[in-house]
Amino acid sequence: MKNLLIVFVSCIVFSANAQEVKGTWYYQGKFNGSFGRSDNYREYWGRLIINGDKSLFTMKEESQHHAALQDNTIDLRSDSLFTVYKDHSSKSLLFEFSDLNQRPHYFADTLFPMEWTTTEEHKMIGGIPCLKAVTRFKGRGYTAWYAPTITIAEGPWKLGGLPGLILEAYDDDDNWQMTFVSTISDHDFDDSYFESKITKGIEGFPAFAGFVKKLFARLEASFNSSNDCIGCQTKSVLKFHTWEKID
Amino acid sequence: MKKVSLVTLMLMMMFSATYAAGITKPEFSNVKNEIAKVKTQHLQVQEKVPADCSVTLKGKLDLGPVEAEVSCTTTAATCNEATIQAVSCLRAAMNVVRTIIY
Repeated sequence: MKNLLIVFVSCIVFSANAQEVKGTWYYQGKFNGSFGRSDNYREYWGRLIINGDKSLFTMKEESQHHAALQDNTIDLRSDSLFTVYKDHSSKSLLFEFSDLNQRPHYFADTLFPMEWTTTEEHKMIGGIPCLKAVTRFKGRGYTAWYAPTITIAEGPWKLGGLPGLILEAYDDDDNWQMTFVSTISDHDFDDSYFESKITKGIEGFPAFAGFVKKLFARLEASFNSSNDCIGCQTKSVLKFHTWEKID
Repeated sequence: MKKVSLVTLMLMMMFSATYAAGITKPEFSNVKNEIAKVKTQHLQVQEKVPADCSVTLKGKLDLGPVEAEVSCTTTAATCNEATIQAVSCLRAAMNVVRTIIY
C-alpha cells in the first residue's frame, strides 16, 4: 500500500512537470535609447506569451509613443522595441527589425547560446523565489533572476536557457531592465506567421548585421555626397550604435 | 623783495640745470606716437585672445536597437556665431537623413 502511494505521488509530480507551461507574463522596465552614452530612458511594458514550446515577447513603450518628439531626433522606432519569437521544438528564434521605411524584417538567431553562471544568491520577485545567474551576450553583460518553480527555460527578449523562467533581467550598465509584475492564464497568439517564415527559411544574425551595415553605408554615402554645409564642416561626425554588438 | 628775487633766481637756475641734464620736454608728436603704439598693441591682444567658442549639437536617427548619431561641432569667435553654424549644419544633416527616409 505504501509503495502504491509513492508511485501515485511520483506520477502526480511527473505529470505536473511534464505539463506545458502556458500563460502571459507581464514585465515592466526601461530602456536607454542612447545605450549609456547619455540618459535617454523610456519606460516599457514587456509581454511574454508562452504556449508550451512557443513564445512571443514584445516590448512596448508605456507612455504614448511620440514620434519625432524632439527636432533633432527622427524617431523610427517600431511599435514594439523588441519582438522575439521562440520555438523550442525546432530550436528557432526569430527577431524583428524595422528598416528606414518602418517595414518589419525578420531574422533568425541562435536559441539561447549564452553561457550562464548560476549563483546561490536568491530573492523574491512578485512572491516567487528566484535565483541569480549572469552571462555575456553580444557584447553586453546580463544578470537574470529566474524562478526554478516555473519550469520553462524562457525569458524576456532573447534571454533564456536557464532552469526556470526569467522574472527579472538587466544589463550591467543599467540600460535595459525588465521585471515581472503579473501573470494571466491567456496564452493564445498567432504563431502561423512566424512558423511560415521558419518553414520558408530565414536568414540569420550575420544577415541582420549585413542589413544594418548596408543601411549605415547608405546613410554615409548620402552624407558624403551632399553639397550642403555638412561637407564643409570638418567636425561633422556620423556615428552608428547598435544594442547588440555587430562585428 | 630781495629775498623773493633770490628765490626766483634759484628756481630759474634749477630749471635750466634740469634741461641741461637731458630731460627733454615731452613733445605732442611723441605723445601721439605713444598712443598709436598702445592702440596697436591692444588690438593685437584682442586678436591673439579671441573669445573662441566651440559648440556641438547632436541629432539622431532612432531605430530602437540601432541608432545613427550626427554631431556637428563648430568653433567661432563668439558662441552665438558657433551656435548658428552648428544649428545650420545639424539642420542640413537631418535633412539629408529625411531625404533618405521619405
